[in-house]
Amino acid sequence: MRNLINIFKNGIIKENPVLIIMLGLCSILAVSTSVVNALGMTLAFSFVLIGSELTISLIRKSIPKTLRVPIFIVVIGSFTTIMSLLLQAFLPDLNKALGIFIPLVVVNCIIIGRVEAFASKRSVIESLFDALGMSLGYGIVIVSIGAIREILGNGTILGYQVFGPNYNPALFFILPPGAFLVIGIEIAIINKILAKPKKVKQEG
Amino acid sequence: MSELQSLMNIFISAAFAQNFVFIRFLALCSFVGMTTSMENAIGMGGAVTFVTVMASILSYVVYQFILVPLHLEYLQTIVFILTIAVFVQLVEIYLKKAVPSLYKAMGIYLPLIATNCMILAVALLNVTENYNLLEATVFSFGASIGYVLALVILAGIRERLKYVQIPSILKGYPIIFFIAAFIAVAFMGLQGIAR
Amino acid sequence: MKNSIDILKLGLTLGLVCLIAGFALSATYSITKDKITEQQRKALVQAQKEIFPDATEFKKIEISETKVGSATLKELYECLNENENILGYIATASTPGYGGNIIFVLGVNSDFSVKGVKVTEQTETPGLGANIAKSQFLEQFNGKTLNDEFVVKKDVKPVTSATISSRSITNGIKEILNFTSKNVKEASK
Repeated sequence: MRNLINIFKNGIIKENPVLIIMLGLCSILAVSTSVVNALGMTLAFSFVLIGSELTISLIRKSIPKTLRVPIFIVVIGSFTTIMSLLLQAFLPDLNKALGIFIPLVVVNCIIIGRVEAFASKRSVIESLFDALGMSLGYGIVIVSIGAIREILGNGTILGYQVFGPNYNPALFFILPPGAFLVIGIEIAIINKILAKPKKVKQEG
Repeated sequence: MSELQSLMNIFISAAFAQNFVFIRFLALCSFVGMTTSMENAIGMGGAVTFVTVMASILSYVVYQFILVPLHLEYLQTIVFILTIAVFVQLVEIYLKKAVPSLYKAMGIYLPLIATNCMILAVALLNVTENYNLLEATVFSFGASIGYVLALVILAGIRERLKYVQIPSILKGYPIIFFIAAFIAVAFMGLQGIAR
Repeated sequence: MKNSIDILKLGLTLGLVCLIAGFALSATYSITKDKITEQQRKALVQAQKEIFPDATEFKKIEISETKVGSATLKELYECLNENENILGYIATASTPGYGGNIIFVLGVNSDFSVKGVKVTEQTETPGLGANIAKSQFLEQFNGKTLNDEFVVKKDVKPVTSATISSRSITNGIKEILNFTSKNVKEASK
């Protein structure tokens, strides 16, 4: 059980897929214009990640080595399409808000990465906890960015006015540059918190 | 509007006004990862351009001649990504055997390209925007040029960053994102130029 | 030959996975298909009802998607009341805006003046250009005829600091109004 909890916690902090491993950036920046959108994206993402990790882990012993990638693509792609169809049918407003980033979940590096590095090698229950942890890690980042951008850029949170009616929102944050700025700040903060003397991958 | 004007419009919109990196937020992983040197940026840019244009054409053909007649449009995501992955694999195999020098230059980028979200996005947008084959080709080329532009700009800046003092809290990715934010502001100014 | 058996096994495994995936996909598709079509019509149906509340039937006019200047006409409907009289027409169209295409619904009276306009989809700048979707901006088009100029800052008051978005939708409305009045008699024959 301890092992499972560690796997879960791993996805949130130590190996946070976005802030530490730097994956899945596109959807994070594009969809974080409001908390509602960010939550919706997390839902869509988690559905595919959890489904894919579970399925791949279930069949991991029967996957021939040379067929790894095609099978991963078929499984992840199927879950993505199923998720897309369900959203179109039952949550059309969210579907419109997330737009092209729904089908793009299939190329979200986090999913392919976890399926390859974890689910194809570990048990079903471990993969479940990994998927849950990674989903939460992803969710925390996108929702926090979404909250900052919505509060500063629109004066609301979850649609509710935060500041008085005289607040002139700093539109900058809702627009593309704001997204880059906010994630830059978040990474800087988390680097400071984790301040280990480790070399950041791309520098040097 | 003449046909040529409309095509120019599509190209300029894809490359600048609706730049795929700074406005549409696509291909960010390679944007951050492949700009450590100008060489990498240009190599990746060239490879992506080739794959994007070819894969767009392929996906278009598959969509129009297989998915639509069979009413299987809802499978476009999975079919497109498989088409792209297979195409990249074939290119890799072919290059390895036929043009080893080019394989050495471009080879490392190819596996990374399969997960490049811009390529899939372009294929999907060709469908939603109802482009014909010529428009789709121009669109995918425009998108790629915009991508190359983005990479080259950032690579140029990053090469010079090495000689600059950066506060330790900003070292690494944070400063890159701040820079990207300002470039994005510049591109936003271009938004109205294509109608 | 061992190699061909291996390849055959690989092919079969992949085929099996694709088969199962295909089954799951088509099952989901058939379950959601009708709901999806219903959702896609919802925005249009709502706009139709808001613009022509007295209409009881919206009869689709057979016309294919046409480019009208920079705008694109998608669909055209006749709006009939219970006595089968034509109250007016509804056109759905798209026009390129500042940040992408603006999808709108134009209601035209039988005398070819504007009954109402609703914007159903837009990706303009939030807080600025996006305000062209608000009724405070769109109301001013009601009652306009083809004799009006449809020029921003002349007879059309733009959204502050969003001249391009305002111009785009104004232009789109003008072009579609023009097209509808010219072609409606032909098309409904």
